[in-house]
Amino acid sequence: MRDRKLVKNKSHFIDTIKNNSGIIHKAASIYTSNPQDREDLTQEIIYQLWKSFDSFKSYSSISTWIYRVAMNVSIFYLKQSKKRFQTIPLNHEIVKVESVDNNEDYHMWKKIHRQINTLNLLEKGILMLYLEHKSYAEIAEITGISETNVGTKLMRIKAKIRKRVIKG
Amino acid sequence: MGIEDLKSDWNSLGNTTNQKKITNDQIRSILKSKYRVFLIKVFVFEILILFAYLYFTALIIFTFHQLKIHYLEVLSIMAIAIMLVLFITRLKNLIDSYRIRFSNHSYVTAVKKLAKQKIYAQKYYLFNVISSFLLLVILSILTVKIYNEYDLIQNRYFWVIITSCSLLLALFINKWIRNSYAKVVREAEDLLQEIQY
Repeated sequence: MRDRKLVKNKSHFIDTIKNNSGIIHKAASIYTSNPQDREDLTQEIIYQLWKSFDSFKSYSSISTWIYRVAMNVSIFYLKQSKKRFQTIPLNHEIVKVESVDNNEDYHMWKKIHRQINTLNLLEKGILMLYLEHKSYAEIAEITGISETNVGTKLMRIKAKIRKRVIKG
Repeated sequence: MGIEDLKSDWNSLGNTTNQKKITNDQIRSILKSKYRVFLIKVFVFEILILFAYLYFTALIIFTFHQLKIHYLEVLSIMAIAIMLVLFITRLKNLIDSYRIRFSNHSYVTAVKKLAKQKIYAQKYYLFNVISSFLLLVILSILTVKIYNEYDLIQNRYFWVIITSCSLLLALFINKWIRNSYAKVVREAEDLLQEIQY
Protein backbone atom coordinates (compact mmCIF):
# COMPACT_ATOMS: atom_id res chain seq x y z
CA MET A 1 0.00 0.00 0.00
CA ARG A 2 2.80 2.36 1.04
CA ASP A 3 4.87 1.35 -2.02
CA ARG A 4 1.93 2.01 -4.34
CA LYS A 5 1.51 5.43 -2.82
CA LEU A 6 5.24 6.06 -3.23
CA VAL A 7 5.19 5.00 -6.89
CA LYS A 8 2.13 7.19 -7.50
CA ASN A 9 3.86 10.08 -5.77
CA LYS A 10 7.04 9.51 -7.75
CA SER A 11 5.31 9.50 -11.11
CA HIS A 12 3.32 12.59 -10.06
CA PHE A 13 6.58 14.27 -9.05
CA ILE A 14 8.27 13.42 -12.35
CA ASP A 15 5.30 14.80 -14.30
CA THR A 16 5.37 17.96 -12.18
CA ILE A 17 9.08 18.47 -12.79
CA LYS A 18 8.75 17.81 -16.52
CA ASN A 19 5.89 20.25 -16.85
CA ASN A 20 7.75 22.93 -14.92
CA SER A 21 11.35 22.28 -15.91
CA GLY A 22 11.46 25.70 -17.58
CA ILE A 23 11.10 27.38 -14.18
CA ILE A 24 13.92 25.29 -12.70
CA HIS A 25 16.23 25.94 -15.65
CA LYS A 26 15.58 29.65 -15.61
CA ALA A 27 16.12 29.91 -11.87
CA ALA A 28 19.35 27.91 -12.11
CA SER A 29 20.50 29.93 -15.10
CA ILE A 30 19.86 33.38 -13.64
CA TYR A 31 21.97 32.52 -10.60
CA THR A 32 24.88 30.76 -12.28
CA SER A 33 27.12 31.63 -15.16
CA ASN A 34 28.76 28.33 -16.03
CA PRO A 35 27.24 25.00 -17.10
CA GLN A 36 28.76 22.98 -14.26
CA ASP A 37 27.35 25.25 -11.55
CA ARG A 38 24.03 25.36 -13.34
CA GLU A 39 23.87 21.59 -13.50
CA ASP A 40 24.74 21.29 -9.79
CA LEU A 41 22.15 23.88 -8.87
CA THR A 42 19.48 22.24 -11.04
CA GLN A 43 20.15 18.92 -9.31
CA GLU A 44 20.00 20.59 -5.92
CA ILE A 45 16.65 22.24 -6.74
CA ILE A 46 15.14 18.98 -8.04
CA TYR A 47 16.44 17.14 -5.01
CA GLN A 48 14.97 19.70 -2.60
CA LEU A 49 11.67 19.61 -4.50
CA TRP A 50 11.60 15.82 -4.17
CA LYS A 51 12.46 16.00 -0.47
CA SER A 52 9.60 18.35 0.20
CA PHE A 53 7.14 17.00 -2.36
CA ASP A 54 5.05 15.16 0.23
CA SER A 55 4.75 18.25 2.38
CA PHE A 56 3.71 20.42 -0.55
CA LYS A 57 0.44 22.03 0.40
CA SER A 58 -2.06 22.79 -2.31
CA TYR A 59 -2.97 26.22 -0.96
CA SER A 60 -0.47 27.84 -3.27
CA SER A 61 -0.14 26.88 -6.93
CA ILE A 62 2.41 24.28 -7.97
CA SER A 63 4.38 26.86 -9.95
CA THR A 64 4.47 29.23 -6.95
CA TRP A 65 5.81 26.39 -4.83
CA ILE A 66 8.48 25.53 -7.43
CA TYR A 67 9.51 29.18 -7.75
CA ARG A 68 9.75 29.42 -3.98
CA VAL A 69 11.90 26.32 -3.59
CA ALA A 70 14.03 27.12 -6.64
CA MET A 71 14.71 30.65 -5.46
CA ASN A 72 15.40 29.72 -1.85
CA VAL A 73 17.69 26.84 -2.80
CA SER A 74 19.55 29.02 -5.30
CA ILE A 75 20.18 31.79 -2.80
CA PHE A 76 21.18 29.46 0.02
CA TYR A 77 23.26 27.36 -2.34
CA LEU A 78 25.22 30.38 -3.49
CA LYS A 79 25.41 32.08 -0.10
CA GLN A 80 26.61 29.14 1.87
CA SER A 81 29.98 27.60 1.27
CA LYS A 82 29.91 24.78 -1.22
CA LYS A 83 31.98 22.78 1.23
CA ARG A 84 28.79 22.27 3.16
CA PHE A 85 27.19 20.48 0.23
CA GLN A 86 29.35 17.50 -0.46
CA THR A 87 28.13 15.74 -3.55
CA ILE A 88 29.23 12.66 -5.38
CA PRO A 89 29.89 13.47 -9.04
CA LEU A 90 27.09 12.18 -11.22
CA ASN A 91 27.45 10.21 -14.38
CA HIS A 92 27.42 12.98 -16.94
CA GLU A 93 26.26 10.68 -19.72
CA ILE A 94 23.13 9.92 -17.75
CA VAL A 95 22.42 13.26 -16.17
CA LYS A 96 23.02 15.95 -18.69
CA VAL A 97 20.64 18.81 -18.18
CA GLU A 98 21.21 20.65 -21.39
CA SER A 99 18.16 22.77 -21.91
CA VAL A 100 19.92 26.12 -21.85
CA ASP A 101 23.23 25.12 -23.29
CA ASN A 102 22.54 25.54 -26.96
CA ASN A 103 24.47 28.28 -28.62
CA GLU A 104 21.63 30.75 -29.08
CA ASP A 105 20.57 30.48 -25.43
CA TYR A 106 24.14 30.61 -24.22
CA HIS A 107 24.70 34.00 -25.80
CA MET A 108 21.33 35.24 -24.57
CA TRP A 109 22.15 34.25 -21.01
CA LYS A 110 25.54 35.87 -21.29
CA LYS A 111 23.85 39.10 -22.35
CA ILE A 112 21.35 38.85 -19.48
CA HIS A 113 24.11 38.17 -16.96
CA ARG A 114 25.97 41.27 -18.12
CA GLN A 115 22.87 43.35 -17.45
CA ILE A 116 22.09 41.92 -14.05
CA ASN A 117 25.53 41.43 -12.56
CA THR A 118 25.14 44.41 -10.24
CA LEU A 119 22.06 42.90 -8.59
CA ASN A 120 22.28 40.95 -5.36
CA LEU A 121 20.86 37.44 -5.01
CA LEU A 122 17.43 38.47 -3.76
CA GLU A 123 17.11 41.15 -6.43
CA LYS A 124 17.91 38.58 -9.12
CA GLY A 125 15.12 36.38 -7.79
CA ILE A 126 12.63 39.26 -7.72
CA LEU A 127 13.64 40.26 -11.23
CA MET A 128 13.13 36.69 -12.44
CA LEU A 129 9.61 36.63 -10.99
CA TYR A 130 8.87 40.04 -12.49
CA LEU A 131 10.08 38.88 -15.91
CA GLU A 132 7.90 35.80 -15.52
CA HIS A 133 4.92 38.17 -15.27
CA LYS A 134 4.22 37.45 -11.62
CA SER A 135 2.10 40.01 -9.81
CA TYR A 136 3.44 41.95 -6.82
CA ALA A 137 1.22 39.83 -4.59
CA GLU A 138 2.69 36.60 -6.02
CA ILE A 139 6.25 37.91 -5.71
CA ALA A 140 5.48 38.88 -2.11
CA GLU A 141 4.10 35.39 -1.43
CA ILE A 142 7.15 33.66 -2.90
CA THR A 143 9.80 35.85 -1.29
CA GLY A 144 8.05 36.66 1.98
CA ILE A 145 8.55 40.42 1.69
CA SER A 146 5.64 42.87 1.60
CA GLU A 147 4.05 44.04 -1.65
CA THR A 148 5.24 47.58 -0.95
CA ASN A 149 8.75 46.31 -0.46
CA VAL A 150 8.46 44.40 -3.76
CA GLY A 151 7.54 47.66 -5.51
CA THR A 152 10.44 49.53 -3.91
CA LYS A 153 12.89 46.79 -4.75
CA LEU A 154 11.71 46.59 -8.35
CA MET A 155 12.20 50.33 -8.75
CA ARG A 156 15.72 49.96 -7.40
CA ILE A 157 16.38 46.97 -9.68
CA LYS A 158 15.20 48.90 -12.73
CA ALA A 159 17.40 51.83 -11.78
CA LYS A 160 20.41 49.57 -11.38
CA ILE A 161 19.81 47.96 -14.77
CA ARG A 162 19.35 51.37 -16.42
CA LYS A 163 22.57 52.56 -14.86
CA ARG A 164 24.33 49.43 -16.07
CA VAL A 165 23.04 49.93 -19.62
CA ILE A 166 24.17 53.59 -19.65
CA LYS A 167 27.60 52.58 -18.36
CA GLY A 168 27.72 49.99 -21.12
CA MET B 1 15.34 50.95 -22.01
CA GLY B 2 17.22 48.42 -19.94
CA ILE B 3 14.39 46.50 -18.39
CA GLU B 4 12.46 46.41 -21.70
CA ASP B 5 15.44 44.85 -23.46
CA LEU B 6 15.76 42.39 -20.66
CA LYS B 7 12.07 41.52 -20.93
CA SER B 8 12.35 40.80 -24.61
CA ASP B 9 15.51 38.69 -24.09
CA TRP B 10 13.79 36.81 -21.31
CA ASN B 11 10.70 36.14 -23.39
CA SER B 12 12.76 34.89 -26.30
CA LEU B 13 14.46 32.47 -23.89
CA GLY B 14 11.02 31.27 -22.92
CA ASN B 15 10.41 30.33 -26.55
CA THR B 16 13.70 28.63 -27.12
CA THR B 17 14.03 26.76 -23.84
CA ASN B 18 12.97 23.23 -24.57
CA GLN B 19 11.07 22.19 -21.49
CA LYS B 20 10.77 18.57 -22.55
CA LYS B 21 14.49 17.87 -22.75
CA ILE B 22 14.66 16.77 -19.15
CA THR B 23 13.56 13.15 -19.21
CA ASN B 24 12.11 10.72 -16.68
CA ASP B 25 15.41 8.88 -16.55
CA GLN B 26 17.31 12.07 -15.84
CA ILE B 27 15.04 12.98 -12.94
CA ARG B 28 15.17 9.45 -11.52
CA SER B 29 18.92 9.45 -11.88
CA ILE B 30 19.24 12.76 -10.04
CA LEU B 31 17.11 11.44 -7.19
CA LYS B 32 19.01 8.15 -7.00
CA SER B 33 22.54 9.45 -7.41
CA LYS B 34 22.34 12.67 -5.51
CA TYR B 35 24.06 12.23 -2.24
CA ARG B 36 24.16 14.99 0.22
CA VAL B 37 25.91 15.09 3.54
CA PHE B 38 23.58 17.16 5.67
CA LEU B 39 25.73 16.94 8.69
CA ILE B 40 28.38 19.56 8.48
CA LYS B 41 31.53 19.47 10.59
CA VAL B 42 29.89 20.89 13.67
CA PHE B 43 26.92 18.54 13.37
CA VAL B 44 29.19 15.51 13.11
CA PHE B 45 31.04 16.69 16.19
CA GLU B 46 27.80 17.19 18.08
CA ILE B 47 26.65 13.70 17.11
CA LEU B 48 29.92 12.27 18.43
CA ILE B 49 29.25 14.07 21.71
CA LEU B 50 25.75 12.55 21.78
CA PHE B 51 27.25 9.08 21.37
CA ALA B 52 29.73 9.82 24.13
CA TYR B 53 26.82 10.74 26.45
CA LEU B 54 25.13 7.45 25.62
CA TYR B 55 28.33 5.49 26.23
CA PHE B 56 29.03 7.08 29.63
CA THR B 57 25.39 6.80 30.70
CA ALA B 58 25.45 3.08 29.92
CA LEU B 59 28.83 2.68 31.64
CA ILE B 60 27.60 4.37 34.81
CA ILE B 61 24.32 2.44 34.87
CA PHE B 62 26.01 -0.95 34.40
CA THR B 63 28.74 -0.31 36.95
CA PHE B 64 26.61 1.54 39.47
CA HIS B 65 26.63 -1.44 41.87
CA GLN B 66 30.47 -1.37 41.99
CA LEU B 67 30.65 2.19 43.28
CA LYS B 68 29.35 1.41 46.78
CA ILE B 69 30.51 4.75 48.22
CA HIS B 70 27.63 7.13 48.84
CA TYR B 71 29.10 10.29 47.32
CA LEU B 72 30.08 8.40 44.15
CA GLU B 73 26.51 7.20 43.78
CA VAL B 74 25.30 10.78 44.11
CA LEU B 75 27.85 11.90 41.51
CA SER B 76 26.68 9.11 39.17
CA ILE B 77 23.09 10.25 39.39
CA MET B 78 24.21 13.86 38.82
CA ALA B 79 26.24 12.83 35.77
CA ILE B 80 23.32 10.90 34.28
CA ALA B 81 20.99 13.87 34.90
CA ILE B 82 23.42 16.34 33.26
CA MET B 83 23.99 14.03 30.31
CA LEU B 84 20.26 13.56 29.87
CA VAL B 85 19.66 17.33 29.81
CA LEU B 86 22.59 17.95 27.46
CA PHE B 87 21.57 15.04 25.23
CA ILE B 88 18.03 16.38 24.87
CA THR B 89 19.07 20.01 24.26
CA ARG B 90 21.76 19.10 21.73
CA LEU B 91 19.52 16.62 19.93
CA LYS B 92 16.68 19.15 19.79
CA ASN B 93 19.07 21.72 18.35
CA LEU B 94 20.24 19.29 15.67
CA ILE B 95 16.70 18.23 14.73
CA ASP B 96 15.47 21.84 14.61
CA SER B 97 18.36 22.84 12.35
CA TYR B 98 17.71 19.87 10.08
CA ARG B 99 13.99 20.57 9.90
CA ILE B 100 14.24 24.08 8.47
CA ARG B 101 12.88 23.45 5.02
CA PHE B 102 12.78 25.68 2.02
CA SER B 103 9.41 24.52 0.78
CA ASN B 104 7.24 25.28 3.78
CA HIS B 105 8.46 28.82 4.24
CA SER B 106 9.10 31.83 2.11
CA TYR B 107 12.69 32.92 1.63
CA VAL B 108 12.49 35.54 4.37
CA THR B 109 10.83 33.22 6.88
CA ALA B 110 13.39 30.47 6.23
CA VAL B 111 16.26 32.89 6.84
CA LYS B 112 14.67 34.25 10.00
CA LYS B 113 14.04 30.75 11.34
CA LEU B 114 17.63 29.80 10.63
CA ALA B 115 18.97 32.87 12.41
CA LYS B 116 16.63 32.30 15.37
CA GLN B 117 17.71 28.69 15.64
CA LYS B 118 21.38 29.57 15.72
CA ILE B 119 20.91 32.41 18.19
CA TYR B 120 19.05 29.98 20.45
CA ALA B 121 22.10 27.70 20.32
CA GLN B 122 24.38 30.60 21.21
CA LYS B 123 22.26 31.61 24.18
CA TYR B 124 22.92 28.25 25.75
CA TYR B 125 26.67 28.67 25.49
CA LEU B 126 27.20 29.51 29.16
CA PHE B 127 24.87 26.75 30.27
CA ASN B 128 26.75 24.29 28.05
CA VAL B 129 30.17 25.37 29.38
CA ILE B 130 29.16 25.00 33.03
CA SER B 131 27.37 21.69 32.55
CA SER B 132 30.16 20.28 30.35
CA PHE B 133 32.74 21.31 32.96
CA LEU B 134 30.80 19.64 35.77
CA LEU B 135 30.27 16.58 33.64
CA LEU B 136 33.96 16.25 32.76
CA VAL B 137 35.00 16.51 36.42
CA ILE B 138 32.40 13.98 37.56
CA LEU B 139 33.16 11.58 34.70
CA SER B 140 36.90 11.76 35.48
CA ILE B 141 36.23 10.73 39.07
CA LEU B 142 33.82 7.97 38.07
CA THR B 143 35.79 6.44 35.20
CA VAL B 144 39.03 6.34 37.22
CA LYS B 145 37.10 4.67 40.01
CA ILE B 146 35.39 2.19 37.66
CA TYR B 147 38.47 1.21 35.66
CA ASN B 148 41.28 1.58 38.22
CA GLU B 149 39.48 1.27 41.52
CA TYR B 150 41.21 4.49 42.52
CA ASP B 151 39.58 7.35 44.37
CA LEU B 152 40.69 10.42 42.45
CA ILE B 153 39.40 12.86 45.07
CA GLN B 154 42.01 11.59 47.51
CA ASN B 155 44.73 12.70 45.10
CA ARG B 156 46.13 16.05 46.17
CA TYR B 157 46.64 17.20 42.58
CA PHE B 158 43.08 16.38 41.59
CA TRP B 159 41.53 19.81 42.03
CA VAL B 160 44.38 21.58 40.32
CA ILE B 161 44.93 19.31 37.32
CA ILE B 162 41.58 17.68 36.62
CA THR B 163 39.41 20.72 37.23
CA SER B 164 41.59 23.09 35.23
CA CYS B 165 41.90 20.58 32.35
CA SER B 166 38.13 20.01 32.41
CA LEU B 167 37.46 23.74 32.40
CA LEU B 168 39.83 24.29 29.48
CA LEU B 169 38.35 21.39 27.53
CA ALA B 170 34.76 22.48 28.21
CA LEU B 171 35.60 26.04 27.15
CA PHE B 172 37.44 24.89 24.03
CA ILE B 173 34.73 22.50 22.82
CA ASN B 174 31.84 24.87 23.46
CA LYS B 175 33.65 27.88 22.05
CA TRP B 176 34.39 25.96 18.88
CA ILE B 177 30.76 24.92 18.53
CA ARG B 178 29.60 28.48 19.28
CA ASN B 179 31.97 29.95 16.70
CA SER B 180 30.81 27.48 14.08
CA TYR B 181 27.21 28.48 14.72
CA ALA B 182 28.21 32.16 14.81
CA LYS B 183 29.52 31.85 11.27
CA VAL B 184 26.14 30.62 10.10
CA VAL B 185 24.40 33.38 12.06
CA ARG B 186 26.54 35.99 10.32
CA GLU B 187 25.55 34.53 6.95
CA ALA B 188 21.88 34.63 7.94
CA GLU B 189 22.28 38.21 9.18
CA ASP B 190 23.85 39.19 5.86
CA LEU B 191 20.85 37.74 4.10
CA LEU B 192 18.46 39.60 6.39
CA GLN B 193 20.31 42.85 5.77
CA GLU B 194 20.02 42.23 2.06
CA ILE B 195 16.26 41.84 2.42
CA GLN B 196 15.81 44.98 4.48
CA TYR B 197 18.07 47.11 2.31
